[in-house]
Amino acid sequence: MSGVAVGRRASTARPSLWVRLKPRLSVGAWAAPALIWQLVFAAVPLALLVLMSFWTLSEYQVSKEFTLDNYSRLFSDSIYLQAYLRSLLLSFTNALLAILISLPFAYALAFHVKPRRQPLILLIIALPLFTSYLMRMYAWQTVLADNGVVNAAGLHVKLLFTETGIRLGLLSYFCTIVILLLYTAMRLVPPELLEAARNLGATERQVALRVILPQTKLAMAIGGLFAFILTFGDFVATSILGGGQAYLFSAQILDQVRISNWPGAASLAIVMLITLLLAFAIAFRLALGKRTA
Amino acid sequence: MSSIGAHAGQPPRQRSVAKGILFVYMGLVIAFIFMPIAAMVAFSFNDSGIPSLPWEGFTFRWYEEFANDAALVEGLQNSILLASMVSVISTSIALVTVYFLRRTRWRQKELLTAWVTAPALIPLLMAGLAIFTFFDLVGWTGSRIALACGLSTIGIPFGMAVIRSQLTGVDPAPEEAAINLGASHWTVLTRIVVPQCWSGIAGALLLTFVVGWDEFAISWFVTQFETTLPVQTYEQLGSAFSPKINAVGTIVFFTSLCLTVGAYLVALRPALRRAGR
Repeated sequence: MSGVAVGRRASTARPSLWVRLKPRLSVGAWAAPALIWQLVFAAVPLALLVLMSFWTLSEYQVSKEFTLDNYSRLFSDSIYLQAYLRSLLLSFTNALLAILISLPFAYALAFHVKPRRQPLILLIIALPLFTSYLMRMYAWQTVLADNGVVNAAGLHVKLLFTETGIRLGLLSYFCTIVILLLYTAMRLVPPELLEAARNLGATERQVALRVILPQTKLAMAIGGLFAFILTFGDFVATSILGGGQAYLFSAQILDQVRISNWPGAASLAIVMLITLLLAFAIAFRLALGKRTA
Repeated sequence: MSSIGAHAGQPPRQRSVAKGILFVYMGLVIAFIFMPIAAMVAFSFNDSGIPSLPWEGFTFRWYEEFANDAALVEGLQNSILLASMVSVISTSIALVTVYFLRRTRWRQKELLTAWVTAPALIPLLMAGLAIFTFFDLVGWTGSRIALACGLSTIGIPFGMAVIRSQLTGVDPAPEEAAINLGASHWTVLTRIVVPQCWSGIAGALLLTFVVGWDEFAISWFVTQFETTLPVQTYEQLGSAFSPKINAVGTIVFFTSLCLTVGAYLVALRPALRRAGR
């Protein structure tokens, strides 16, 4: 690059300040489309949602009068608190289950499958991600229904339209994502570390639990967070697999939408957002805090 | 990687039993993840009005019923149109943004990456509600174009990731030389950058198409007249049950699968190979 500049300087006069500055200023313009697009179609709508949660609904009309009623209603009516706690519990246990199911799988894949075959298995477990979420949840209906695959296989259990049904549908989805995250983290564990542990007499189990596991803390936090956020914000599995049996927080939002109470829906959505941000903060605190200790 | 085979201090039999258990476990998890898709594809060909065992015989009946269902076919057309718009918008903006990130000397340029990526992390229920509210207030609701604009906020980060991965490791010196010699950014982008990442662009087009094609939650909020295939399916799920939904699901699955595998073959594999894997 300096060679080019020198060549140019030798052949012509030193370029003016404008000529030298122009490329640097004008490159900024290339950031504008993405900046503006996300501002107009993501940030502004979200800000509007926050604003609207303080607006008044009277006689099915939204008016722009400031009120805290939408929020105070959430605290006075115990139905919201119940739904909230229920969603919280479901999301938290889902996150834990997703991590517990995925850990042995990622470990087996990263350390006990030939490296050549690993991409194939990754591809196989990633395949379901290519169908729409809606279709996948619907497909679970076929599996879980009273006359579905599971019950035809001889087990007689009520799965569809129960919380277990919702859980199974969601877990089959997260597990792929959590496995991918954990697998990536495990592949990044330096092989020398494992070798050192083995040379010092560690058994395979000790290597797995005391060397590999601590290295996947961040991936576990991110994966768990994914599962938490997706469960908490889900309304598809809840309505298709829950069938209105499990009354969760997202269903409350939909109910408000159905009766066109937009400020009510907005205030619930804001509560959801705050919850997810808190979960985000806690997950990273857990993952990064313990690492430094 | 030779260390993997070297298990110190454990008898071989115990080791192989432990390995066997791990493999059985892997098989179970794969079955768990795969079961719904397998059931959906299988039952879309089952000659029975209810999606349950026993197997009644092979049929294309449900695909024919899908083809004769005007609402679903219209949904399919809308989905294709919508996905094309999302694909073109997202990829163009992503390309321009990647070019900026490549050329700028701004130290905190990853702030822009974060700003662009953030919308993809918002729960879809919230995003749908927010976008609907916005379009409702500006009086632009229900249209396909509005929905495409909203969905592109999620498509852009995906497109950016693909194009960026294609350009990592590509020498920026020719671009700098061209700028120093007075070329415009447009010339540098179209004559130097694009030829080096055309496969990344193709991959981004395919992947962002999948975003528009598959997305349900936001579409459910925003579209009122021009409903997409997933939305139309959801509406039908509520009314009467029919195995043609399995046929729709199978079509959506294989379309998304082909596009994503296409994106992988066109863009990501060469990029990974160049990265020295």
